[in-house]
Amino acid sequence: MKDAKALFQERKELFDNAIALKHNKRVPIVSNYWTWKILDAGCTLSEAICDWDVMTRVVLEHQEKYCFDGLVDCGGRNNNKLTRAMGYERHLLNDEAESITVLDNLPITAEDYPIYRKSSQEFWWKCWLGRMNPDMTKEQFLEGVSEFFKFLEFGDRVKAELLEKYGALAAFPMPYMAPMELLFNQARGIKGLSLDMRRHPEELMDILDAIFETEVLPAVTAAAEGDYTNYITAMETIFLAHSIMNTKQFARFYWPHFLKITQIMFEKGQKIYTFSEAYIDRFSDFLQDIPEGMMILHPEQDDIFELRKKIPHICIAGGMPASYLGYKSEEECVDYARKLVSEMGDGYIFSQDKMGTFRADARPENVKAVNDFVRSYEL
Amino acid sequence: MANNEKKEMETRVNFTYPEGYKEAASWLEIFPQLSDQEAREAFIANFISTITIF
Repeated sequence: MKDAKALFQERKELFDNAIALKHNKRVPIVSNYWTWKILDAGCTLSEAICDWDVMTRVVLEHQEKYCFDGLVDCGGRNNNKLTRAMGYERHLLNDEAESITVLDNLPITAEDYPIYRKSSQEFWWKCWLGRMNPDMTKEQFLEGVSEFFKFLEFGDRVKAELLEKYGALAAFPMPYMAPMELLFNQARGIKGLSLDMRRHPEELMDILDAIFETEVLPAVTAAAEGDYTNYITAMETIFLAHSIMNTKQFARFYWPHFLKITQIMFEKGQKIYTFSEAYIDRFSDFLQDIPEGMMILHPEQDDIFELRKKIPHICIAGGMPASYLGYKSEEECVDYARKLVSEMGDGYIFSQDKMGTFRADARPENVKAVNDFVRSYEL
Repeated sequence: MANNEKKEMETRVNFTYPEGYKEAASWLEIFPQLSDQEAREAFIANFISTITIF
């Protein structure tokens, strides 16, 4: 067994080659398991999500058991410890059903948009936090900030341990999403944003530009100057809101900001990892604007063999179906993994199609079998 | 002291802007990472924008 430093060097080269569409000796493997790994470690969701020491053990055991080259999630999802400290909930954990329910309780209305243009501080303070818990005490506020710093410390610590003990790379340090995603996921939700695109398009465009200028542009410009040697890529962007948009809406409200984010990063030579929920295939014309060998696209539901034909200039990750990993035999899973690595070859990163969430998303023996196979398959 | 009485005596966050915002920023002086008032005020908006995803 190689030491962690040698493994890191080997894996870094595998990922760099895959992103650059260069020939690799084998296909690198990235874990897209999220809450699945908590259940696989024998913990309940509330035991691990509420305890950073337990979560550290979960993440390290996941790596120890399956020997990934890199990980998309390092245990930082669903931080209900912070939200509970501040006196509100964004999601509910159900240990019996092993599920997480995201609450549709976002507080922003379309009428709040002009407030953001006037002052982003006022918008977040008064319209968002002030409505999530209007009765918040000073103690709760300070406890929330304290939990935030603990969360950041946990993220740094667990990524450092993955690197030092196992030579495994986190996929990225931070996500930086297009402004439309911020409104979609964190402020207006599916229904609100769907209505805004139709009823308040001018106001929506104005706040998207304002969010981009005020928050996204400074953050991405600073991020572009960073050193990301220990990561697979410099940052994550996520396609989620595109799932409720047609191509005309996507062209107007989404793509210009997204493209600018990528251009700022690419100009500095930084690579990007992008996960796409639902289907991205219908927006593949837009992806022609992405330069060759700079981005990983990890689609959730697309046929990646077909996607490869449309975007041969972009490294693709994923493709191993949960429907195989969770329900079929080791032999059937390995056969499908063989098809993936042999047909996708260079410019491909082996991973799960969806974010591994439920126990039924994978059988441990299947995960081990496909990882062992891909690790030994020479291109 | 009963819990409800204790709750009544606790300082509530003032969600007005800019008065309540600046007051909350001043409370953050207990965190060594946030050394001056300007940094604390900049931090709050970034903090909220970030935690909205949690």
